[in-house]
Amino acid sequence: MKNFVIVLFGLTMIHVSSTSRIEAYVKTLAMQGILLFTMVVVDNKDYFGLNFLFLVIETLVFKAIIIPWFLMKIIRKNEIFREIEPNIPAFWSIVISSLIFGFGFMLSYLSIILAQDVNPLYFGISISTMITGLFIIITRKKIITHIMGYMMLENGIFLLTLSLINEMPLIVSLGVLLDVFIGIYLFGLFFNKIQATYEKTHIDTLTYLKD
Amino acid sequence: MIPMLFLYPVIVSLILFFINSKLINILALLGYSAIYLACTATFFFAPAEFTTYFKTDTLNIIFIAILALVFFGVAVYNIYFSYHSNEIPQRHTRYTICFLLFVCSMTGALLSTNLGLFWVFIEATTLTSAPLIFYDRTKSSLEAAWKYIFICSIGISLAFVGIILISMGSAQINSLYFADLYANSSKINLFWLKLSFPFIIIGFGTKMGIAPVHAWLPDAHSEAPSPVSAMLSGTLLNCALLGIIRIYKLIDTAGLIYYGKTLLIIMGMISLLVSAVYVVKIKNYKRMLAYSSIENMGIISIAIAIGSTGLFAAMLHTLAHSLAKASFFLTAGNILYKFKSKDINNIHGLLKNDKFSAWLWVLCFLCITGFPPFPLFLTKFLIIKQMYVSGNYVILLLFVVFLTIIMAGMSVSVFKMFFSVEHHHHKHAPDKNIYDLFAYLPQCVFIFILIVTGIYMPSFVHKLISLSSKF
Amino acid sequence: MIQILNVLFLLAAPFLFTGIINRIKAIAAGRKGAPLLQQYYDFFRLMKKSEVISTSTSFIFKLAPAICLASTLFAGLFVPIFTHRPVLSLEGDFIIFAYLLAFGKFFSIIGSLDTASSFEGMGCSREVTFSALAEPGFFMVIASLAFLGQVTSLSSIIANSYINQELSGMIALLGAFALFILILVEGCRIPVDDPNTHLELTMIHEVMILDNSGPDLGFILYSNALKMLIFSSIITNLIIPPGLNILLSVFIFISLTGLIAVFTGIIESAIARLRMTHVPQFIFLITSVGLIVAACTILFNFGELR
Repeated sequence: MKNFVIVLFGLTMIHVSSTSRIEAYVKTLAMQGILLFTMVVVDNKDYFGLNFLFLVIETLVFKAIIIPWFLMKIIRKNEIFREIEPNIPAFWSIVISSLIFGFGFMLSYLSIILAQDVNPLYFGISISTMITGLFIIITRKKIITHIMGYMMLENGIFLLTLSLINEMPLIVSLGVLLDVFIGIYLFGLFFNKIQATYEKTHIDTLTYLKD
Repeated sequence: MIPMLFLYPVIVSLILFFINSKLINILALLGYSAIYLACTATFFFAPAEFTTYFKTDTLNIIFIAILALVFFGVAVYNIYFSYHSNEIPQRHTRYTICFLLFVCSMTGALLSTNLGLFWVFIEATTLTSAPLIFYDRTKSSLEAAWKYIFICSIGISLAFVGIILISMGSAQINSLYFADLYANSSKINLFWLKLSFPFIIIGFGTKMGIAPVHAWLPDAHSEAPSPVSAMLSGTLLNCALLGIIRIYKLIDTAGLIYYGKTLLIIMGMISLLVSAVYVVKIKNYKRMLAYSSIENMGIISIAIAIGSTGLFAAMLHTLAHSLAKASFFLTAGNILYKFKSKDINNIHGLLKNDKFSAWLWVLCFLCITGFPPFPLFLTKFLIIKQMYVSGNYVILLLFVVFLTIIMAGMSVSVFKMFFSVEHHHHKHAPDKNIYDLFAYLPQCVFIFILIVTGIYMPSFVHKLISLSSKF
Repeated sequence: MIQILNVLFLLAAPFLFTGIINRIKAIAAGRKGAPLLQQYYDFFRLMKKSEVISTSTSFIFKLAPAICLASTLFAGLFVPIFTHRPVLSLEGDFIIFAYLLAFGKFFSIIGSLDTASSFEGMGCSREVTFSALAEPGFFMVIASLAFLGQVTSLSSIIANSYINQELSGMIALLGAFALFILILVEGCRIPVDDPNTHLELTMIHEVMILDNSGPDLGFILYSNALKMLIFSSIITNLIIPPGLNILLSVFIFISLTGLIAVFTGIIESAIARLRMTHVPQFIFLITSVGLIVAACTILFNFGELR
């Protein structure tokens, strides 16, 4: 069951790198939140501990509901619906995303040989998700897509923390939540300011400062 | 004494939020910097500890001292800056609150004994300094603030990945305290440690400003108001440097020292290359200072990687660079206020209009590029000597070539500004008053400290630096 | 005994498959639709007709449809139909299988290039691109299953894909997804190609067979449907575990094949044809999913997936 959920998570990243509709990105983020919630619930030994409750709230409430709702609001208000001219064509986007998956799995194969204390499927898919999130940030032009690529990077990091054999201390979960929540809040704030100032949401407009 | 450093900003911020007065803001900032200096002085006599999370030791005492000095100078300059800034009191209050919280989070990062807590505080510095960059509310500062917050957030996330990988490798130790990690470094699985070090270097290197993850630095440091630029360049880069040093020490005790050195030298060399390429034809003098920061962080990385005498040189370079760069940025603020332009070609008649700033400008330049008697000459000399002694001739050659190019590029711009003559007299002389003293006082004090350190280092300074270099 | 049933199924069932697809499309569109056996009537009608052959063609044009049909039928003999024992089985025969299909496709392409018409040339270039993109995906799926079971004949690959409950379910689902996209590609269905379009510029496969008539056209239609049936048999046998009672497995096989046909019809009615430049992306999904299947099987083979 767990393996199936993780593979589905990996498939969502392939879906993201091949689509150009921005609402699809947001729905993928919500889907990833729900998948992470499933993994947290299935994985845990002690229910009703503070750490477990915190993780449940973080995945189900923040990642699956609040943040996608917030992003949808921004998209609908600014009427950005399509990512029309990404930096590379969509076909090569999906090719490179598959290669990133291959690389991630090679890394996890190395980890089986050289170190034995992590679930290799978790590790491979989380590294692949992180690099694919970075790839989406690099190859897309709209700022809102950059923000969503950052969210996927965070989801990959969260998946990596879930794959630890020993428990991470609570303070680090707090750190992840701080990162995500305040980050999104500040991103949204700045995004509205950029929208108000520039009236366009391309990063092509953010090229004034250069040498 | 440590709780005072944390309580003051939090409480005073709450108070300032309800009182919207510029004068109270300025006094609050000055008060905090005075308390900071006093606490730092007590740290010299006895190491302090507050719960198990915050502790001063031989490594971070020097960083705290740098932070205290630079913060005091910037708080004094802030009097001049706030007096001449035309913002409404609410915005100025927001600026002061963010400033206080920014210094508080840097303190937390420097003092923390736990890797996870260190990461949380570095994240907090990003979040609290972003509104500071956006103080001017112009289009370009919005762009700079967005780049800063986005790139630094990505970098911090990658640093978090590195922390997770270290935690995976140290599963038997099951703790993220630095002391525990150092003590049990033989039990760490080397594969995970090796995999995590690039993530840590790239992650914390993004905050530190070494290439190739330096992209936010020129924009943020040039668009921020001058006191903020001085703080960012003089103190924030050091906090990230502390993180890299601590993990480097872990790599060293685990036996992967050659791997760590290679990575640090590569990043340092790329920083020097990037800085050399961009600083030669620079048009904006504040960006020139920012590229100089990148160069100096590269030099520090190379110095740490070279080892033995290089470590002493790295610590001295940190101290001297922070003081010199802070005074450089504050002087740039003076010039910006007088001439209202960041373009080098628009500065005419500097010597005639503002003699003191002009001479400070040249003195700071001499200090930053390592002329004797300033201590940066000493550090570069020690690094070159250590490179020669240990036989790294190629690195030595590249190092010297890049430094020469950078010095040449900067000197063209600096002296163009110093010597350019006004063709027609502009009437842009604001009336002089007592607050102008504060525009020059911090820089003079910093340069005096630097001259003293360069000519004849007092023994306690020498002891401080050599103790910290034995990490 | 069961091999005779295999061959009979291969000979008789393809048009039923396409008949079901067309019926589902008609029902989804609100029409009554053609009878289920309509394609058989069309085939026999075409067999009775004579051919019109263009003067600008050579002998290749006359040979190509027969070669296409022969190679597809021969490839079909390697596929396990009702049980997990096919008619022919060798070590490493999944490569023979893939290249037989490619051989047939190659001849159909040069046969239509032979007509010296620009429409056929356009269709050929599109068709070749799509086949070239689909091939690594197919190999990735089948090869990773081969690596999993450490066997190399197509039937034993499919038979040995059952390891433990969870993992075989996951791999079967992923493999089924990838191979289903392959059905849509090889059978030239929506979203890759619209079989009902009458505008030559938007055709891919139909434009290649514009000049064929009579029995040749019948052979081509037959081999197209047969290719879809072959791939759906592979999917069905991936899902069915081996070693069941023979009547039960025949029954499940036929119903699953019908289900796949229904599902294809639903997909055809529900989504529109993709823009031509977006089709390579869609086809590359096969390779992406195949990569994940490969990674999972490699990781499993080191005993690490729990």
